[in-house]
Amino acid sequence: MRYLILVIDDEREVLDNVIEDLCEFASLFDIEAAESAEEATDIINEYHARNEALALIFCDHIMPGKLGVDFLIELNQDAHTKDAKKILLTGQAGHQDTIKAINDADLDHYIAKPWQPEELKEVTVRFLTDYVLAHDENPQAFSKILDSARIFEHIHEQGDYE
Amino acid sequence: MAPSKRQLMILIVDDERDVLDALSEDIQNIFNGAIQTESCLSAAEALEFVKTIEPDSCMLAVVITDYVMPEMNGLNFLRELREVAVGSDPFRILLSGQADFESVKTAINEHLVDRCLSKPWQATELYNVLKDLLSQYLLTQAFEQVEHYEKIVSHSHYRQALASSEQKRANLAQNLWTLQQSLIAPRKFTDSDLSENLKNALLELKPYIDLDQVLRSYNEHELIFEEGQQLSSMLLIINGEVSHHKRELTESGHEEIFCEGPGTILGSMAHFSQGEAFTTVRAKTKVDLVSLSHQLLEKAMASSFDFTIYFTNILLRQVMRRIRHNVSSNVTLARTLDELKAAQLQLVESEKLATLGQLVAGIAHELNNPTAAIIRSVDHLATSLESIISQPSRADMQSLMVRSFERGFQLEPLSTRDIRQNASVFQAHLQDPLRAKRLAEMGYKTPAELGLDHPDEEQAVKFKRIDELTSFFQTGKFLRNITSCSKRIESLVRSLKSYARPESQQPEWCDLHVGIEESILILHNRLKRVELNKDYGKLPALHIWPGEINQIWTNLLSNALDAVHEVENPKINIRSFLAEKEVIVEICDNGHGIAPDQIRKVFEINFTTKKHGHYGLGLGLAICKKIAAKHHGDITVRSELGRYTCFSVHLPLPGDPTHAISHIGH
Repeated sequence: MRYLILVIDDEREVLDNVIEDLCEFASLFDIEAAESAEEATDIINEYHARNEALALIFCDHIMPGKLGVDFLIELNQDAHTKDAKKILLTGQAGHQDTIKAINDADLDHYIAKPWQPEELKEVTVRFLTDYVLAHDENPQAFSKILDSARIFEHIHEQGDYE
Repeated sequence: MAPSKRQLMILIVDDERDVLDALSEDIQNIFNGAIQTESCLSAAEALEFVKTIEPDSCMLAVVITDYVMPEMNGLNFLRELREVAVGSDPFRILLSGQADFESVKTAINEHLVDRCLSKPWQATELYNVLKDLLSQYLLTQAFEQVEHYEKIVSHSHYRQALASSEQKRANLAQNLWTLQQSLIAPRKFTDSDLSENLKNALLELKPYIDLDQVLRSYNEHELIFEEGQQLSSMLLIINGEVSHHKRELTESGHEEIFCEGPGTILGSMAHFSQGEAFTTVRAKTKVDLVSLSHQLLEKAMASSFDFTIYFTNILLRQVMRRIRHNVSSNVTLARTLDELKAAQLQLVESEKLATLGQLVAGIAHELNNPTAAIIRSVDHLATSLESIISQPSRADMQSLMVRSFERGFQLEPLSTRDIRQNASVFQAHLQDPLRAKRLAEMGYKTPAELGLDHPDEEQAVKFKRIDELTSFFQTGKFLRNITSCSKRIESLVRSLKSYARPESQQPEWCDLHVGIEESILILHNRLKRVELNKDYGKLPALHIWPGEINQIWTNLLSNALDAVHEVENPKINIRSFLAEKEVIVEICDNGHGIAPDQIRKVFEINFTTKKHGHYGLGLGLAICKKIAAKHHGDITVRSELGRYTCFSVHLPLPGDPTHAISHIGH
């Protein structure tokens, strides 16, 4: 089973670099870049059509058209995307907007620009692990690039339970 | 230094030489020759002689004249002498042979003589009369000569004279002392003491002044005199309180300037400057006054030393008090003015700082993106360079590699949507989404371009080729990233600098559009969400202070952004065009608009419709208006509630039309 990682940023230079930072996850995940919330919606629908779910989304806040936080709230209200791990990657979300994202979008994490690649990777591993443990029948398949300790512990506990 | 001696002289007039000689001889004997005697045989001769007397060296102390003389008798002579001897006043003795009662009576009644002597005279009588008159003369008319005629001056006279002058001096000293005490040390009197004393001094003048005529009473709130009224007298408050009012202050709602009570003299300023009343004065309580007209004052001062002292004291005290009051209010005013100026400067500075703070916060956010991109690009550049260096160089791939690098470095990147679309053909072929996307990103359209459709070639070899080219492309791409982000940072910093730079003393020739573009750049982050339409006309360069004018653009754009914050399709239109004799820049938004009753207030200090979260002090538009005015321009506004707001900045064209026309096309 493959899952979608989506990055949204209206600034192409930023977008390219985030994608590049995530490329080590490309072997097991589909990583898509979108320059706006509208484009992101199209991608999600496209992947949904072939039954591939959104697992993780990195979203900028200040963008032309829809604001990042508003888009995340929409995703949280849609059954298909509600479970996706949602991360704000921005330097510009104010206090009020961030609180709104936490309360209304079940925001999972906030990364400030400029970001540390280690933090980006650590967060990606943590939340993708959460996601596959909760949704995938065979999380062991991801142990190579995700948090293997947690995955095996989980499998162990599941085995005990069964 | 003792005054030089003047000769005492006695003039004797008689038509008989024997008498003249005998009298003269007797006088010389009596006074041991200390007195000069002059003898004249007729009145005419005597009158001629008197005219020749030098007063600097001679003192004519006594004139002795016969009564019966031909031509002019003794009394007529004395009458004439009174006319001639101006400046000196000799004692006059009438010498009469017959007891002519009529002549003596006339002489006495007309004050023509001081003594009478009858012929023949007794030596002792002559001595007594002359000694008496001479010492009187010396003591009263030539006191400074007394020391030269000690023997002549009678001791009793001298004592009397001394005693009287001592008394006069003592009185004078006493008066001076009182005056000094009262004028120099006025603190020993309280205000009410002074007015009480003055009132008493006035009462003592009752025999001279009809006090009923000058006492006035006023009821509470009654007008005493009006500002501007001609005053004929000063008014001394005996009882009660009055309030002073100034018309211009009354109009602006001030009730009274100050109050005064008993002992105050009203109308002194008007009196001494012969002008009009400076304030309006009303009775605050029941008031009793004495009206001091000029004539009354003159009379009172002439008659009563006390009155003079108390009046002067009260007046001086009052003048001092007013001066002190005036000085201290001037000091207070100057201080208040300074404080206001400082506060105004501080407000303007605060507003500038608040705007600047807002901008800096915006810029800081704005810097986050390119900074993050540069930091990450450097890492990724290192990775791709490393893979290039670690690979053995392949001559057959040379041109492809260079092309990949150049594409990465020079071309505008394809949109993510296009990349996804173009990647699908490679994905179908390779079954590798990452590499499919790389190929699309590098601008390849079909697998055939790189011989990837070759069925004999192994997948791993194809992948290796794609990865090698990717390294070159990525190297170019991240270099381009770094370059374009650096440029963005540079222009951000430049625009901030031009905004925050200290204003030069002299205006500069500037293209308005440059400033507008800089302001747009500063606000780029907030403008992202807004449809920004620019319609720039051809404008001449204007002679302006660019930093200040930029403040107008930033302020108006920032306001427009606030206005469209909750609007569905936010739009801001900037239009510049040339009108008759001026340049107009319009900044319009489709935001919430301004209510008609508010629109006139927008340029006032402290006006703001903004909600929480904004840093401004409500000075923004007030300052913009001031800046426009400084440039001899103006800012106008029109608006419709819920529809739009449009600010127009009018700046006059320079007088010289030859200035270069500049235009930035967008």
